[in-house]
Amino acid sequence: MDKSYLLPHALKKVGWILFSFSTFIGVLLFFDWISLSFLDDFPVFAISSSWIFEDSVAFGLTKNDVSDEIVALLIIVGGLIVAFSAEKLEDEWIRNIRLKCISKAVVFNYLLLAFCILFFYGTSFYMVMIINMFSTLYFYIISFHINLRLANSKFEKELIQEDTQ
Amino acid sequence: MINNLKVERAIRKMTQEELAKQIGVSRQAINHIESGKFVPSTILALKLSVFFNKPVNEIFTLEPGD
Repeated sequence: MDKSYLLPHALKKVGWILFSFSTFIGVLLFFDWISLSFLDDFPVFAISSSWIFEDSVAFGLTKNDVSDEIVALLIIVGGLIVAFSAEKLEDEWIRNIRLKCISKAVVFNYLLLAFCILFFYGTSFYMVMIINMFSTLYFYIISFHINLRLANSKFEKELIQEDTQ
Repeated sequence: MINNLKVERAIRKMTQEELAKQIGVSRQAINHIESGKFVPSTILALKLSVFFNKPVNEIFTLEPGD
């Protein structure tokens, strides 16, 4: 992966704050543990909007509860910043780890989705699709940072062992 | 692929961190190259070759399975 595609390292902290906060609010909204009623009936422009028992709208104004849209966008923006901001020292070893983690995240996500397609139906599958919008990003972020941590802690242990020999 | 990076580094009495700083990579990268867990790119291999003033194939050697 070419380093020029990565965001500056300084943005990583901002990304983590945004990603963590929006994930927290997103989970609360997902399970209906909170309701942001002040965002109900917000006027929005829709390329396409269709609900059961309501008239469809195409390229026009409609009203919608935008709390989930805002949280979803914040998760995406925060997640992308975390995922694609450079490490302090971004070298080809870390780029190698990035590539492996992205590949594994995509494959794992689709295997999990295939499993869900087989065993989840109706409204439950709708919930799966909501999670699936973000799951690849989460899998990659978790996988990449765990791999980095493990590699670093293993390395530190080897250094200590070398020093004590 | 096998390498004698550790030997070359020891001849010059350098730590992994010192070598990493000279080359411009992380010390973990040097560690993983030495332990055979990571194959460096052509550019990195050439940088090491220039640094140690040795041809690349005196530092890195192909194994039968490669």
